[in-house]
Amino acid sequence: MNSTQAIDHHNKHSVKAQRIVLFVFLIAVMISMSYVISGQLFKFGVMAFSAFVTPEGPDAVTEAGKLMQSMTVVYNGLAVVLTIVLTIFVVKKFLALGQEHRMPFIKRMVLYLALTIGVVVVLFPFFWMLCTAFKPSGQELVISKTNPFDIVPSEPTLDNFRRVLKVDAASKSMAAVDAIEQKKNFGTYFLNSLLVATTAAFLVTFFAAMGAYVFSKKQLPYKQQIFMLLLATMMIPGMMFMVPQFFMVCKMGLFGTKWAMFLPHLASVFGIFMLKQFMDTIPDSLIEAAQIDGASEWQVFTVVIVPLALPIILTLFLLTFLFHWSNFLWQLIVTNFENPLSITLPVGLALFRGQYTSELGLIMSASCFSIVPIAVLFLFAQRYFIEGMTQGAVKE
Amino acid sequence: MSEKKLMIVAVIAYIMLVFVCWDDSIATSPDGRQILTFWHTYNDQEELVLRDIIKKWEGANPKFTVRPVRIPFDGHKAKLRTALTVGQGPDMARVDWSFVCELARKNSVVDLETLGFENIRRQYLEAPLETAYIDGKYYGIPDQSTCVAMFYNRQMFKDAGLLPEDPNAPVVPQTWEEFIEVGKKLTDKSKDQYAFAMTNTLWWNLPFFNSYGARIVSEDGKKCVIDSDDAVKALEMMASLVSEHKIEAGAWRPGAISPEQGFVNGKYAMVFMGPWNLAKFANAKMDFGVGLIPGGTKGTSTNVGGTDVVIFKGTKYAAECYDFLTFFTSAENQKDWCSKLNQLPINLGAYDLVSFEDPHLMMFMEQMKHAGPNPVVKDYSLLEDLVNPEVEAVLSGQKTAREALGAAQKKVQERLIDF
Repeated sequence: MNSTQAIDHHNKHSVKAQRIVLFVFLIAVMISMSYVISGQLFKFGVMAFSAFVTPEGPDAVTEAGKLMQSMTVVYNGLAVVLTIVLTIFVVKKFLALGQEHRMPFIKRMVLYLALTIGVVVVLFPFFWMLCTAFKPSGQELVISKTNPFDIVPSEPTLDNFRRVLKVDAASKSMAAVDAIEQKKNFGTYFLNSLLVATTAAFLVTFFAAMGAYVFSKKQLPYKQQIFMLLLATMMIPGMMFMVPQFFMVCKMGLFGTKWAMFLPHLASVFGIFMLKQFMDTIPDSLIEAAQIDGASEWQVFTVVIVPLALPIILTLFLLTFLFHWSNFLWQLIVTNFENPLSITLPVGLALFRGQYTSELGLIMSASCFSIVPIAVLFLFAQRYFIEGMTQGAVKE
Repeated sequence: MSEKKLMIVAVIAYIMLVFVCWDDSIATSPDGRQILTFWHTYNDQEELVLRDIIKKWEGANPKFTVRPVRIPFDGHKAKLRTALTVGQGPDMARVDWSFVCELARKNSVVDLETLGFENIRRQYLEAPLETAYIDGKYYGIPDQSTCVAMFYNRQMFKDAGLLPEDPNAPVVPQTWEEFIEVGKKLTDKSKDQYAFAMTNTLWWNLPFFNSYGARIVSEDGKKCVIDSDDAVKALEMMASLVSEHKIEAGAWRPGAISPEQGFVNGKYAMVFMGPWNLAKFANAKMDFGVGLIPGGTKGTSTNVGGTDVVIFKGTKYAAECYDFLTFFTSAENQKDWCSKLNQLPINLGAYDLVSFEDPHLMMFMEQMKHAGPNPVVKDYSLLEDLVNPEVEAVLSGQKTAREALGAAQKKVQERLIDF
């Protein structure tokens, strides 16, 4: 064996050793992460279960706590089992691979672990929201002494959800007081907001698309100047308009109606700007082709422009929906609090906050419901988001 | 199912939803009585008691009915400002104490002395009543009042061997000098444990200023006197807790653990806190007590929080509104209100009628008697914005107390009082 071979051989060995050390280290990280994360998730499941099965009552909290205590073995056991299964799966897969495939496998593992950490960081606030929603009043700020990262309540309760949906005893006695009081519940607010936000989003995208089409593709005297003038209005803070707009809405007799919630925001300069920038990238030749085939102006708009600009239109739809879903100040001003049919979600949620105390548990349980439409919309529109971005990038 | 179909289904579902649920009108049956609208910010339990009181009042006034309308406390100022601009305001409302001055200076609330308030005003606690005293006239009646007192963690006192043997003896030191001595024994930085924690906003700092007899704004409201010698002394003492004696946790720094959270988790032994958290802390199963705030040169003192009720000039029935509000805040109804809701009375007559089982609440009633005056200015949040950064500069050691308060006085005088 000559010297170069010896060095080669030695190198091979040390590379192999390095690989093994790296792999063992990664497995250790994976095991601890898997145990902690799945432990919390299983504990959350057990916690939600014990909160659901305990009936409402003065001792409900301690009873649910006891039930949870008795199931400690279950969630810890499940976490251990899951971790063991995962470890065996990964190690088996690693060992089955040939030498030359092992390094890429380790690289993939690093990537997945990093991504898992990213997911944990992103989802942690939502998990905290879910956990806090189950905490009884007063326990929201208490940090576990044994493990500060253990945020799942040990004595869960459904009271926050009951109070938000007004199915608890105190709200029932309140509802008995007055027929109007009966309608003052989360369901009404949710429905109102859904109607307001969806209608606003539909109308805004519709008007903005038509406006943007004209500014992008049509001949209009002083087009550039008018567009600049429109853009200039974006520099004025929205607060300035609030009182005049409120005055107009009241003069129209719309105070306390759903129309008032979004009517002044239907003309969206931002929307026109966003859509125009996108429509500029659509080649004129497409429109000319359609016109040669005998398309009317309306057909050009609906058959050529809208389908091509759909990703960006959906993005605008989503942004507008979000804006109206959480537009607190304006909706507060035009709400007629005597009429629960005009109270929307952001305003209704504010009713839970007192002067000094915020009922964190109540706010969080209400938030659990209020993020549902946004989450659904995002899941649905996510693909279009990315499509919109890449399409804009490669157009001529 | 393709995405196109899904979209069409969603649109159809939406259109159906609009047809079924788009309804703005709600049936209210007029019964011939004149409606007086009362905007309030009470919670469910409070509103039930309020409705009982309204029923009693309506029994004596058959021609009128009071309609309570709840609005969110966050934004009640914006809501009232805009509603009053277009004449959609209520007949009367419950507003934060700091808002009365703005309403009065903008000429939108009724001067109560025209309705005979002079005869009954002595029945109210002085400090809360003074929040509605603007330019020599009374524009509101206090309906609910709070103050802060010193909460202490019994367990931490026990661990440090500082609990007195006599269970009736006060645990919290009586003067700031003793407070500092005790504080040093309670602070253990290795365990991340501090004797005291404070937030730096003017309202929360008022107990310091008031215990030295320092006013923020002079009694006639024409001059800012925050740079007085007493105020300088108070601020120097405050700063010494942080810098010299190091018994304060720095909870006033941005991003620090808030006094409330630190107290619940046993990091801070003493914090200023109001009665609103009594039930919450009891639920958290912690062993705590309440004591009077330590005294400065003028003895123990505290701030005043809470709300006042006002009558708007837009109403045609000011006399009836006044009658209802005085009925609502009368000693007898206050007794009901406070014993049902565990709150502090604002009516001196009710002080003798109410007795709480909870010793902590009794301590708050005692502390309330020593409450100092709050600064009454037309824009209270601006006052906070002007003063807080100056105080922070002292706490973090960038300025001396005299420099900072001199600068604060100048700013407040120029931008808030003379402006």
